[in-house]
Amino acid sequence: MIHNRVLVAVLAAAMLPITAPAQSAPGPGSRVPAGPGRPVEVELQSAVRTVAPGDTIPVAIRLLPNPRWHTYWRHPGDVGSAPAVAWRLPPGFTAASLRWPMPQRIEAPPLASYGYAREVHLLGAVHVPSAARVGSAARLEATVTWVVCEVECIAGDAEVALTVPVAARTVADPAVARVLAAEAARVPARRDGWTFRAAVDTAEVRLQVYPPGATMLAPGRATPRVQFFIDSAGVIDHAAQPRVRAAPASLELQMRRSAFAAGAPSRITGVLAVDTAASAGGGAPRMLLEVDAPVVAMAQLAAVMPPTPGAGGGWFALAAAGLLALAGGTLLNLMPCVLPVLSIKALGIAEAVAHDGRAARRHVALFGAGVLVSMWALVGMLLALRAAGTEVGWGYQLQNPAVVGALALLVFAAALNMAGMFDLVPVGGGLSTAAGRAPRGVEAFLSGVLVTALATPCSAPFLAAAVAYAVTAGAAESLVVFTALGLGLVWPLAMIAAVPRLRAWLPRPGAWMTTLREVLAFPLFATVVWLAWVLGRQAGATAVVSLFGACTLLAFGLWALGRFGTIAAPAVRRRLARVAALASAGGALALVSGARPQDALATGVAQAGTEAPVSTGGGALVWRPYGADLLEAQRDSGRIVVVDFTADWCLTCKVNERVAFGSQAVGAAIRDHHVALLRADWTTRNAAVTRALAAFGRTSVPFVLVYPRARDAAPIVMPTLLTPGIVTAALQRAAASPSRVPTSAASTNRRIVPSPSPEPTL
Amino acid sequence: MSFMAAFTRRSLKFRVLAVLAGLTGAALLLAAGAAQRRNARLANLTVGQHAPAFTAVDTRGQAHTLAGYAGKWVVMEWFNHDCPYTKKHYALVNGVGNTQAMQQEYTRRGVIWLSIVSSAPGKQGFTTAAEADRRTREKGAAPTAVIRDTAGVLGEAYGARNTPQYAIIDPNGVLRYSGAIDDQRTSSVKDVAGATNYVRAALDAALAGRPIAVSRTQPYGCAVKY
Repeated sequence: MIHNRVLVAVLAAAMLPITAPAQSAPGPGSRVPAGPGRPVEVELQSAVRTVAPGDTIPVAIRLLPNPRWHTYWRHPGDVGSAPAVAWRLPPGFTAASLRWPMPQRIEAPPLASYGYAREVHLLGAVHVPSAARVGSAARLEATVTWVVCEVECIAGDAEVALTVPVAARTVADPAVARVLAAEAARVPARRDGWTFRAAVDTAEVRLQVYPPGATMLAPGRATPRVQFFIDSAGVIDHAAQPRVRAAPASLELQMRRSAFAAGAPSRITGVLAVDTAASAGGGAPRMLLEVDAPVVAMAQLAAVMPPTPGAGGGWFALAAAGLLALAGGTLLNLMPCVLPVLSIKALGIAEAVAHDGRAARRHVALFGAGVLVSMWALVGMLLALRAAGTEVGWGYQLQNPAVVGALALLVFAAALNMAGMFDLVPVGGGLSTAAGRAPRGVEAFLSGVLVTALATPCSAPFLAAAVAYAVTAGAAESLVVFTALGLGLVWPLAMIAAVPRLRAWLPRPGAWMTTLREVLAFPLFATVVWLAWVLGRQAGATAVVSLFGACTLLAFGLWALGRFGTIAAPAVRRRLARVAALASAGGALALVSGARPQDALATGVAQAGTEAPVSTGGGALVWRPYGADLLEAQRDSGRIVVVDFTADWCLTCKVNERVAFGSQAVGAAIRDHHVALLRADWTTRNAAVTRALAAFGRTSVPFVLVYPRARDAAPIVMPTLLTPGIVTAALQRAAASPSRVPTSAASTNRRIVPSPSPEPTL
Repeated sequence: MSFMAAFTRRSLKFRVLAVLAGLTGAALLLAAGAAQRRNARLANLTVGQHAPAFTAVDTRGQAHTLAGYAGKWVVMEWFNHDCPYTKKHYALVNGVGNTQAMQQEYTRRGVIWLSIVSSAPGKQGFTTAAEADRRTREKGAAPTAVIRDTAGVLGEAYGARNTPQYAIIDPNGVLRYSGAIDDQRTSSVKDVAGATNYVRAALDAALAGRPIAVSRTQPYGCAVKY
């Protein structure tokens, strides 16, 4: 006990010179009134008249600014400083840190700060050691420093002190205690069950708020009244009002990132005031909460937060995305990976309708269902992955070599089918060309699934924007967009089945269709070659050899099926052929499913230092692997920078690279303007590239940016499909764009003198 | 796509194209509308970009242009004589003022130091040219020049929010630092001594040819009185 007391005394003595620069004993009173040059009254208050040893004295620093003036919260925002209190206490006494009541926003565009344009009590507590002697007087002294502003700011400080007798019993001062209790009700607190998450990107900071009960937020309001006060500098733009999005059981605040942001914070802290169901009824006050939110990946936030109509573009954005998806889906019909299968299908249907209209329409409906169901399955997987925090986008499934291998096998089987090796499951036609046999529903459905699978590597024009919207919006929006995409893919075929006049325009069926079907097998074989190349880039030569082995095995099985599995064959032989086909298909899948990404590609960034520069087929253009640092460095050196977000499985990207960047004209322009070329490779999963895409609101490739020479100019976003003309024009613009030049300060006078305003300004 | 054309009659092709063109047009219009809404955001001056060019006349009638200082490091300091935060950094402690010492040291080392007051006429910090010079003398300040940006053009072009606030521009005209003078966001003179002075750190690194470690901080102080 004595030992402890000595220790405390020594510690207190050691601290004294720091907090107390030798103040004379008779000293100040408890209240310093406002006066000339001091537009604020300061007082030290105690909520007790006497205090018992071992007890705590509730104290407050009361600040009363003159009308129109204001003091500041613990974080002042853009202007001013928080008041500071330096205590000088008797030995053994300790002061708790201040508790700050909810501040108010003080707007003075373009700045905003957080403070109190009212009388405020900053709540403190002084702990009296149990060794304090009854009958002694505890003298509490403090130096209070503040900045108080109206339009102009005045800094000040004052000495305040009061004496509390140490007695056997703690006796409250009811008047002060009442005031302090009222103020304490305005102090935000941590509350059980409330959880927070935040995410930060270059443009904004999002904070999500989850109350403990789903019904706690004020009902019947699109956006409940919410105020958030951040308690750190350089994170958000204080002056920009946050946008609030409300879901039934959660809230999201979107705040603009500070222009002075340097690096991403690991936590977002501050205080939040929010209406709850109870406070909306008029009775309970607003909920005041201390917020401490871990910063997670932006993708983890977006997955759970359905947007509110009107907040993020709402119905307008959804309709736009839906239309884009419809157009994109329609264009997918023309993509080289889809066109062979669909054109044969169109002709087959046209013919079948002539035989049996009802069956053909049913076939188209089932085909459509196959497309839609597989689209929905894609959405489901996408959302599940995003919810799990994986950063993914359109075409993500092709980042997995096993999926690429399986897809290659599927296309190979389809090609064999079209080439006529077997026709038990006619992939393209789905309808017998000879007998008018009713189509099998499963086949129709599966061909829909196949078409979707074939379509995914192709990012048609319009698709990027629509899919980007879908995957960053909520689940319902994703569903709408992907459904529109599927409908876009299906409607041309449905039209052929439904509108007789359209069929009249199609050429008459005949023997030539068999030839066409066989010829169209070759684009599919070419697709297999392309997928094999993608697989090779992802998983190396061994994986490609495995794929060829798997193809051979599959070909054998399908040959057996075609040779012995026809309806004409005896039942036993037919069954054996089917078993052989199934076994070979299973074996083939097993062979490709073992493919794993190679380390160099899987880690993306590691590749940057080691791998030789990537070059296009068109010439000696040197592409360097993308890195945010490299981009900045190149821009610093005053060069135009082209960033090509690409993937080997993205056919459109490859076409762009060959046709546009491979051309002589573009090559010459790139050399003339000394353009730096950076390639962001998304062939395998790469979080850095996904984030860079996300910064532009994209979740798919191709995506090409041209950063102009002027350091302050925004990058030019290139269209999805590129031609040499488009690229050279963009490079011209990038070379020409000037930096902003304000006119002479001396010669310009565009100031409008504002009228005096009763509101506090800074 | 050519084989598709071979199997379709002209009229179908044209009709399909017309429908597609219509859809495309509608989609493009919508996309353009959406893009317009998204881009309605002010561009911010950021470190690493070219600083805005300017021509400004100082209290002695001398014109200063950023281009004219090519090849030199330029410090732009926003101040307001009567702002407590400016006072904090000009206050004499043992005869030495924080800002004055920096001005003397770095102008001696070839740095151009422009002290700018962007206060509008009638607002705090606004002075006549003669009074500005008098107060500069009284404070013992030693900038290359004092600029009265009474229209606020310079301040707005550089995103000056607070006094004090600093911008440091390299010999190529690229902004290399933007933000606060130091990390002690108070108005107390006693906080000057222990502070991490970002402007000093940036200039010392720059003049030694080292990269600037902290290049962007949130400024603090009074609001610029535009």
